[in-house]
Amino acid sequence: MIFEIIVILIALLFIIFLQIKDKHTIKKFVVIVIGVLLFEYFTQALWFNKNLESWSYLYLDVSWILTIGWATIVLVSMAIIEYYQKKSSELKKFILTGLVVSIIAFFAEWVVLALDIREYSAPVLKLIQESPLLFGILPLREAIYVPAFVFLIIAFVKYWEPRMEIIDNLVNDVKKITKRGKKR
Amino acid sequence: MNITSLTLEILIIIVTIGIYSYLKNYEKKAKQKFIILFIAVFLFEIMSEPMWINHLFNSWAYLYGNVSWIVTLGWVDIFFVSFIIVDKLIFKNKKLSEKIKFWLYLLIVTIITVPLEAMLLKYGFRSYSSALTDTFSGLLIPFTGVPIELLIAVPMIAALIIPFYKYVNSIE
Repeated sequence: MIFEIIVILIALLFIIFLQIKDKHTIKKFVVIVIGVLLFEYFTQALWFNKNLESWSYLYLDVSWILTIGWATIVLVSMAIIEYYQKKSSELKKFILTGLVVSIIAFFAEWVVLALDIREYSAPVLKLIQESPLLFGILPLREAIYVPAFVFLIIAFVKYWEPRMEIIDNLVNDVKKITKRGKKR
Repeated sequence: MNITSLTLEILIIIVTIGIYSYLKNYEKKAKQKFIILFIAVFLFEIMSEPMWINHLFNSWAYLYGNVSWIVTLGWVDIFFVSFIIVDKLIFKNKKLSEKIKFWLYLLIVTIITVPLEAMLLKYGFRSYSSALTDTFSGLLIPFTGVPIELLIAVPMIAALIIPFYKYVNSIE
């Protein structure tokens, strides 16, 4: 329960903070969640998400808590690069975002493994065990695997974000309704 | 050297050359587009390596583990054929929104992939790992040996690969 609450609080904190700076943050977050869910659904056979509260599972062992955790990592990394690399080319920003997400993702993955929330399926374990180690600790396959899906997800977000006006419209409608409610 | 495998490998290379030559006729950046799509598919192949096994290909067709650049090229061909069908055949003279095109790409990629996957399974070039078969319902697409789950998996794969291809091309 504590893990789930911490993830929700961290996600909310960053969304609220970044929404003040960028009014498209909620839209970005929703698109990231869709991208991460696609990936999680597709790769569900590769790992087990366990020991989470029953309400945090969407479908079999696909957990929306882990989805928003991943989405927050991507959102924050994109914001960091947008802030510090304003003048860089889109390609440079894309590559840097992928690298930042990958570095954070390695630590996040280590945390969920240590907390016994994540477990790999037998074929994944076999491939990781067969893989040579980078710097003596990091299996090469893991080092390739994480950036591979990270770059696919970031591209998904970059492609769909400008095409999801519907989310901005929904956010604006909710804001208007909330304002009207307050006036009354 | 396995002759059936060699035939399939040569066939994929010939189809690739044909598609690339066709693309060069109307695309100034055909080479760049080709490389970007290859990278996108390759990223997906890395990601999905534990899920299936590519058997019987000749050793030079493998890059590492069971990741094969020939299979990657096969996927690249499928995507380019679907782009050509949507962009150049169905909607040649019509301006269509990118969103509608996107859904059509997914549909056509799936239609092309099902019989090819059935063939790869039938001739033993492809099998699925136990982790994946454990999640299957046991239902098959009629007249094929392809699990019904492929009808969801292929559009999902395409929904990650196509945005990578489109986005990276747009910023290059």
